Amino acid sequence: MHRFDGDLLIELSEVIKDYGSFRALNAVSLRVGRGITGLLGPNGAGKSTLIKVLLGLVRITSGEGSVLGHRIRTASAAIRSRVGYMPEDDCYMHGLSGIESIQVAGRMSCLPSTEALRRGHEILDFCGMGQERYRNVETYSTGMRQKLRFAMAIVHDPELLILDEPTSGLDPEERDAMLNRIRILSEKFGKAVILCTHILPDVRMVCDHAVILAAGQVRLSAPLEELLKSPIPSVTIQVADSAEALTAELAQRAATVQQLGSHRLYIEGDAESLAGCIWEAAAKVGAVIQNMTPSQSSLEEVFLRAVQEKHHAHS
Amino acid sequence: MPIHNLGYREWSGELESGSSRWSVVAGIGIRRAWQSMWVRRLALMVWVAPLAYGILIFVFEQFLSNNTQMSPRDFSQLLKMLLPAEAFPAVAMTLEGLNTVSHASPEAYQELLAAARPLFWKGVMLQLQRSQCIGMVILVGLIAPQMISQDVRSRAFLLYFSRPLTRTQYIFGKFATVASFLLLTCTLPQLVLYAFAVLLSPDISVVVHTWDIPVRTLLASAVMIIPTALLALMLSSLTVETRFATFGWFAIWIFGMAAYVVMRSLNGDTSEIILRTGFLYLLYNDASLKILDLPTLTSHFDTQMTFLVSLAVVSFAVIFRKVSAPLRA
Repeated sequence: MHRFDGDLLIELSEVIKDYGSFRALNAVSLRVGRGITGLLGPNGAGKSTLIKVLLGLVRITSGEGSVLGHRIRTASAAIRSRVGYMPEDDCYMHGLSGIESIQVAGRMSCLPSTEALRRGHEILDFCGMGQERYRNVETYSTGMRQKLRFAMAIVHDPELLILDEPTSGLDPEERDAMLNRIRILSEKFGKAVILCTHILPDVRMVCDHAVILAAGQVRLSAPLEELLKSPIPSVTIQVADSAEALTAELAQRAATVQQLGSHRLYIEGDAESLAGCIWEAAAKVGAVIQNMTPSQSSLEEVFLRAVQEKHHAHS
Repeated sequence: MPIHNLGYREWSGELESGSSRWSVVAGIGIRRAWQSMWVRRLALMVWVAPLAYGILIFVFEQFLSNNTQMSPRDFSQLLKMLLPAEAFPAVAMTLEGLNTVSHASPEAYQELLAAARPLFWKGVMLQLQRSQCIGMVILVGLIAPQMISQDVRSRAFLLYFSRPLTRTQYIFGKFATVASFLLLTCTLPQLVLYAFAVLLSPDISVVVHTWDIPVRTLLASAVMIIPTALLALMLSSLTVETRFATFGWFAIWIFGMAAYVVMRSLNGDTSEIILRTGFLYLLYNDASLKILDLPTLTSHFDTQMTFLVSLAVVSFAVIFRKVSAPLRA
């Protein structure tokens, strides 16, 4: 089986998708490489439409794009044979057992019948499903169906995985296990993963890159590390004592300092260039620094900022 | 953790051709349908009719060989009961001819025999098809209504179409499910009956005079199976509630028959063609008569075939649209 060896797995350029008079995607340009990419956005942001566009399930109104080197307009079947998709909806094939469902999924992706069954068992083992694989899927709990859908998405060993809310409905233990599986697939087997979720801690735990979509537009697309950087570079330090003296000393050294409570200080500036100055000032006033961290934005803040741009634009 | 858990492993084997993906969809449908006890019972029951008609052919062949004590008059009465009204006069006429032609004129006798046998066999095939049409209605009513409606309800669409499966392949897979049951219960018994009839004949040369019967039977089956399966699937695609689709399916047949009976009894101005086209049972019967080359009471074959083709095309278009709808949402 030929594997895609480029670095850019998804490339969209000015993609527009209209449903009648409603514009679901508005000039979306996006580049996604290897690793795990979190796709975030409020309800109605266009995430599902974007996934359908990537899978070639809906025709785009205008624009261009490719997935794994295949053009989305003309080679949707080739794309779907190399992409694993886990839908968010509670969907299942009626009347089949877990292992039969996986075998069918494998066969529809053109795996030979015996191989689909063998791999189905292997994948279910990987997903932590035991004897319940022989039960009818209608009797499965939400979590079991979730694992089954994940197994169905990876049975044909896809190069790109699109996972829509893979951890919703899972208990904390299962959630960790699911995120761990995603991490293994990405780090150990080089799978590119698009993780579409509302659970921001999941994104923080596993994603390397995040894309925030709102009102059919890409609001942010950057490595997670970069997104989480505070808009104003700053450092927060925790001192055991002499906070006032240290504040005064730092202020004299032309730093913008703010005291937050009796033991915390907020200093504006780049962490690397400030570090020397802070240590010198602390040594001078005899303050003991317990902790020094560059300030970070929370993902929630980043998300809300990106989404609220829409409201500002409208107002 | 299972002791044989190998963890995730990559796969680098050779993929199969995608042209047979529809057969995976059909395989699921057949497996699911076969789980129903009633479907299994019905699939067995439909074989009773060909067995009975096999015995009739045996008696007929015995009669032709003069190995039976039955008088021509009694035999004619028996046939009148068993053969379709349209086919009976022609068979009776040739049988009468057989009785009047002296055995001293073997050529004329053989000629009449060659005419009588295919006529009789076709009449039996038609009668068998009529009886199986009832079984077909019940069988399709048990299988087809859930085929698409259940996939919509359980949102299995996303699982199907996130694979390299086209909508046409999906519909063809569903169609193949229904068609395979109909082939098993309608077409195959007719072909088996034909083989049975050949085996019961005095010599294998009957094949020369009757070779077209299996071909015509296949054609008549296709004319019946294609619109039937597509119509039933269309009803299934129109709703997420299987019971509504089941009701719609049986309503088409029951109300069609009721409308036909009422309109006929009123003796109104409604034309015969409308009546015979509205009731699918008669429509299939007329089409089969024409295809089997039996005498027919109607002369609207072209109109009826146009209606059947239109029914199939419209049904397919509706299914295609309905199957695409959840993806657009």
